[in-house]
Amino acid sequence: MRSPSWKPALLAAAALALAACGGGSKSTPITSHQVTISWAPNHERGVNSTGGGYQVMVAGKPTINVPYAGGAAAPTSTELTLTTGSYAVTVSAYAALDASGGGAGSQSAPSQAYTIVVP
Amino acid sequence: MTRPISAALLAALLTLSAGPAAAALTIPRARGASETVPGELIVKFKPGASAQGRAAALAATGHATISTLGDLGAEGWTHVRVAPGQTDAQALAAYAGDPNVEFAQPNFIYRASAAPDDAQYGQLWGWRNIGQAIGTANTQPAGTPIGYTTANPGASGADMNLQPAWDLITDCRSVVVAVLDSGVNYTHVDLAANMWNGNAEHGRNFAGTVSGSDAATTTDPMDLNGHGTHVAGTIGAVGNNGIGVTGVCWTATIMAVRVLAADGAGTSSGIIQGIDYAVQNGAKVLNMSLGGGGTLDAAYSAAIGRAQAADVVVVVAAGNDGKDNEATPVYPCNFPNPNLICVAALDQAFGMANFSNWGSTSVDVGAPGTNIVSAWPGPVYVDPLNAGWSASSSTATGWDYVSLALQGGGTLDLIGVPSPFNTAGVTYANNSDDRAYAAFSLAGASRTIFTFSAIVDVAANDIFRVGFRAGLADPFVGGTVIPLTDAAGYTNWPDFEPITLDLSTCGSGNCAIGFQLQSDGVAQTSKGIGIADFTLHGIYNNSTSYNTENGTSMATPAVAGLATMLRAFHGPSFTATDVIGAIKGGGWATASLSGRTTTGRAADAMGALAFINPPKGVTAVVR
Repeated sequence: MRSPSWKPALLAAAALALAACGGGSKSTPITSHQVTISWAPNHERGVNSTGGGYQVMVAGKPTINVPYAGGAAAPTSTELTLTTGSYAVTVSAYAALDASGGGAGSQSAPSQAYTIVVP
Repeated sequence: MTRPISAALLAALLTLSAGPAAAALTIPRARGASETVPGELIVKFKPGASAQGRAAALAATGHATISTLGDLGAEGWTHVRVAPGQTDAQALAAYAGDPNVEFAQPNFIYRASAAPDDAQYGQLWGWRNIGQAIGTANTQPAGTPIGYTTANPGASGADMNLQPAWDLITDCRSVVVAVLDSGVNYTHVDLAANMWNGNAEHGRNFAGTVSGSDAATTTDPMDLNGHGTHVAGTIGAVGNNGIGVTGVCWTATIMAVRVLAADGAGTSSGIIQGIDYAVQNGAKVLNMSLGGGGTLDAAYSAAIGRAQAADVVVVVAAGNDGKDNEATPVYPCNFPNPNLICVAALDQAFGMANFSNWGSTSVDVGAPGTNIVSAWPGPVYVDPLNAGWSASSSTATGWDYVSLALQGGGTLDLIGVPSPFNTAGVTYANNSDDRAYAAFSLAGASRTIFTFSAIVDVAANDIFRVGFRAGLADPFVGGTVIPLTDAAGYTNWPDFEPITLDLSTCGSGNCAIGFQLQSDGVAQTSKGIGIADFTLHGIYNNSTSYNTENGTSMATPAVAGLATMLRAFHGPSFTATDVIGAIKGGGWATASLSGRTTTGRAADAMGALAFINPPKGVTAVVR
């Protein structure tokens, strides 16, 4: 005899499998999608050099670090997988230089929030 | 009419009570704190410690050797990396009680100290304030105004935080900064090397000799007033050259755009031409230490809009009326253009200067604006007014020489009509012709500008005049006579009003200069006239002169210099919007500016350089 709590987990897994195959169900399907978040480049020298970059904050998800990795500028996009739902996303920029002239680092205020709707 | 926003006399209010003595203050500021390399220490082992003992000490702490400084002759010193997850404090404590270790210390960071060697650098409190008194504010001849006495000395740390910024950048030559002002003495020893030289010009002259004249535009922007040269020096006097002062930028590209005449006044048409010339010739920062009241000047605003379209930052002065710009707009400060940043003046303790305008939605930041030492076109002679003057009067009241206490401290010596001056119930006489004049040598000057401050209360049809003529004789006989009031009468009591005249037609020999109050027979109750701050400014080539000035005009170029520095530091992609965001967001929160500016902040060079604007244009694509 399986415990009652086992059944919902099985149903959820089945729904996810159907969605991934392009099928559906009358209940709200939980799907996952690749999402590309992008933003306009910052122009501060420190953001676009070693020790600089961006942080992408997606509500309910771990912060994504997008560091400068060489070349003329730090990357201005990142990809992640999100499941069905609505997510507020903000981006902040950072650099190694601090306001005392030291290397403790500085970070911008977050950008205006953008809402991602994943179907 | 637009005038430069400086305040030689600060529109000083007459009062008989002196202000309290300035107290020494210190602004606590987390600057210059000792920096250390995170995760690294230097360990000094005792002289008798064996190799095994040293190794055991390091093993006990989990630290790894980076280098043995003994290789360079520092026997017993070892540079180590601390254990993962251990703070530096924990790492230092781990050596306590170890019999092999004499002591351990952080690995401190030292930086080049970018203090320039300019002779008068110690007087530039706005760049580095260590609570120094500004001596040049008090070294005028006896009996003349003594500068801005409030908060002199001021508060250590109340400054633009430039020294750490100079560790990063001193060379702003890649960015052309235009000074729209009375011109620049481009031969000054502290400016010549930093002048723009586009099209084989240092700039243009869009102003006549005196305001209102329609002189044709020329390619010679020589300063015949002094104001523009002072402004240019604050932006970009050559730094670290051992002489004079240094600007925010040690090396710069300064375009001189003369839009104010020798008397310090200009017109919309001249200023608009100046803006367009600067923008079309590549300037990316405009300094406009000038302003005027009245209605919104659409043509002027449109010119600033063209600068905006060309991604040019326009830095402007708040005004020197000691008033709220929200109630009484001052332009260009109150123009709505987003590429414009408006600056209030701060004193040496970062209080708002008593002459500075403010505005919660129109004025953006504060910057040093009192007792500012900078370049000047030529020698300055200040006459104490107490000797050598020939005074005559057709009535009994005549001229008086008095010393008045100024609001905020200090005294002001003046000559005035009637005698006794500024005395309740005493008015000047009717049917009077009161004259006072003195002769001065103008030898050696290619041009001479004459400035003074006047407090005036004259009735209708009584006329206050100034006159001058070559030689020693009465200038009101055969000289150039300029009425300063008209048949309507005039009063500015109790405020003094600065007045500038071009004395070049007096030649280069002796020049007699005088004042006259002539009254009719109509009974009146007016207080008369007072003359103070009598100053001759000689304009010379290859000048080595400096001067100490007060005003939001002096605060504005500090911010324009910072805007230039920011654009040079971050490169050509750093936009006008980025610059203004960094200056506003990277400023130093200052109580005197809270609620009186859009930011409540003073311009802070290091803060602005380190400031990062919030990213924009966030979007997402779901696949």
